[in-house]
Amino acid sequence: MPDSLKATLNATLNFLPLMLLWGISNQHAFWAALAAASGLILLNIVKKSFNIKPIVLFLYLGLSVILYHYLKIDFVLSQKQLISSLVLGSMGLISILLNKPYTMYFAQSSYDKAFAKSPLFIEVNILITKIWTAVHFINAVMEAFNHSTYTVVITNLLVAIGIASSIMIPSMLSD
Amino acid sequence: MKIIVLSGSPKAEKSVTLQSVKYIEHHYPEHYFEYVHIARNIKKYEANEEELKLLGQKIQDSDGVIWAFPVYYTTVPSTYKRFIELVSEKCHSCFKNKYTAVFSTSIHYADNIAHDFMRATCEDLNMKYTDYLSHDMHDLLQSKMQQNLKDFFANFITSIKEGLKVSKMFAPLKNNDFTYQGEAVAEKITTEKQVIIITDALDSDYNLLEMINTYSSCFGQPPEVINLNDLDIKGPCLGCCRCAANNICAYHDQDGYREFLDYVIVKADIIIYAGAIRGRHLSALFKLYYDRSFCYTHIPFLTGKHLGYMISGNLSDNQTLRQSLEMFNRGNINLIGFVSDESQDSSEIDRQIYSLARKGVVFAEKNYFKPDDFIGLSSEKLFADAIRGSLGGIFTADYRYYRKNGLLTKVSWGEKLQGALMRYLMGRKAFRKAVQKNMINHMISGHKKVLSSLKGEE
Repeated sequence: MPDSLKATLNATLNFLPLMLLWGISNQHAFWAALAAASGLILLNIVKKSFNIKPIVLFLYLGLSVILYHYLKIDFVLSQKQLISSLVLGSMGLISILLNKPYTMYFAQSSYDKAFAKSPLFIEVNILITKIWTAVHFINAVMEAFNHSTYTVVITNLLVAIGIASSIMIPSMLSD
Repeated sequence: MKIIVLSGSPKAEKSVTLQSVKYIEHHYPEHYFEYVHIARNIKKYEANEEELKLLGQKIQDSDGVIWAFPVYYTTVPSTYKRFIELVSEKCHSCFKNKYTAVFSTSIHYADNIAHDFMRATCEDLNMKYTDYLSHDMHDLLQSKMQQNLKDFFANFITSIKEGLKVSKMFAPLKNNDFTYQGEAVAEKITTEKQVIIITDALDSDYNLLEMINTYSSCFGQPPEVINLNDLDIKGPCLGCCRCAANNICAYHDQDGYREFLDYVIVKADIIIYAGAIRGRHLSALFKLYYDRSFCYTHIPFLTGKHLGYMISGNLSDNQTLRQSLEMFNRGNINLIGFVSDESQDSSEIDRQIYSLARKGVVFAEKNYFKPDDFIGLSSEKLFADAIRGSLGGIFTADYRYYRKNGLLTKVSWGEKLQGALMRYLMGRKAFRKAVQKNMINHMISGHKKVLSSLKGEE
């Protein structure tokens, strides 16, 4: 399997908690997404690899479960799109500032070890993380100001652009 | 000053090129311009030497000569070429020491070759060459290029007034007195591929005829020889562009050219052009053959053919001619090679001719086509841009052909994105440093994969 395809599958798998969170409209969304994030963390432990995104999602979803189910704060469910986008955007921003773009963690396992530590790999992932960070912050702003069918369409379109970029950029630079 | 303008366009007063010279004339009323329309008068010059001498006298009495012509098939129109042949033969001294400049219009396809040809010709005529200017056929419409024209002429006048000189760029022409005695080749080539020899050989072209005989003797079934002198060609390309819409020439049914050309296109797999060097190019008759093929406008009508050249004369002294002929090899038009008689060794020439024949058959049978080099690629891009633009509005036959054959493709979105992505990343210091450090390895990373896959196959 080509390296770029492996990385794509990895990226898609890491998106599973968010798919569940955004796709399920009732209160079970948090539990389903939390279970998926836990599964990803376990998978990483088994593979002896490190990935920051499932951990951040686990923390965010765990906190949301507590706030919603135990402290009865409905806001975390009604504004889950906004909050999750802010969490992901902030994660992206911080990881870029630390020069450790979060997308590199799930791409790393698909590439040669030496290359996965090279500035080339990090720089390409900084670019991909920047795109994702922009996607999440734009989605957050749109959710904050107007939640409508159009917003849903546009946010999903932006996510699709993010996924396409994650696939296309490494494959364009494969040689 | 008195300036003679030797106008090469068959359209005479309605020539695109001439409009630019008229523009110069308008801006320099203190100079006297006299126009000589070569295409209109060529028959007169051919028939009557006195007419040529009268023109020679005019040139002698002038202060400078401007050669002004449209670029036709990499050089000058066939009638202009014929004129150069005539004056070189009969009126050589008339041009001696005359200051000269060369001006052309075209879409810039092979204009450099046309100007090299003209410069070499001016040097052969012992003229004082000053400079050249190559304009796009619509440049006169732009104010910047109007100024360019004025500056070109002003520089010409300055050169005459101040006696400025430039270096010669071309070695003088040498005569080849060698007589080639070919021997019929014993080892015959058998092939299903059709070979046609196109020549302009006259009875006096002994070496050329002998080369054709040797080439023909290479085959079990001798190739067909078509002599351009035997064809019914009514006249030169008129530059009327009537062919632009449907590739139907103004002469279409009026002479035998189109029937001949279409016969060659349909029948030949291998075409061997056999011609003698006359001056700095093949003969005016060969030039006529090329010019009239413009009935196919900018379409590479010899696609799928393998072309070879047998040249009588010192080809290695005449690189402009070689370049000019190589310009026809683009797309799937393959160059087999050149053979000339300049080695002055008959057995060597025999062997070269056999090699040309053998190689052509191997290429044709294996369907071996060399990919385009700079000449082919740049030609395709230049034509594609022009045809995608305003030229394609008139030359609709070109547009249809280029679109159908995928010749109008631009840089793909994928490639553009890739370029943009790399430019962005190369703007990042860490990425740039890493790439520069391993540039050589990066350049062959894809190639290494191909070679590794071969090892895997073993």
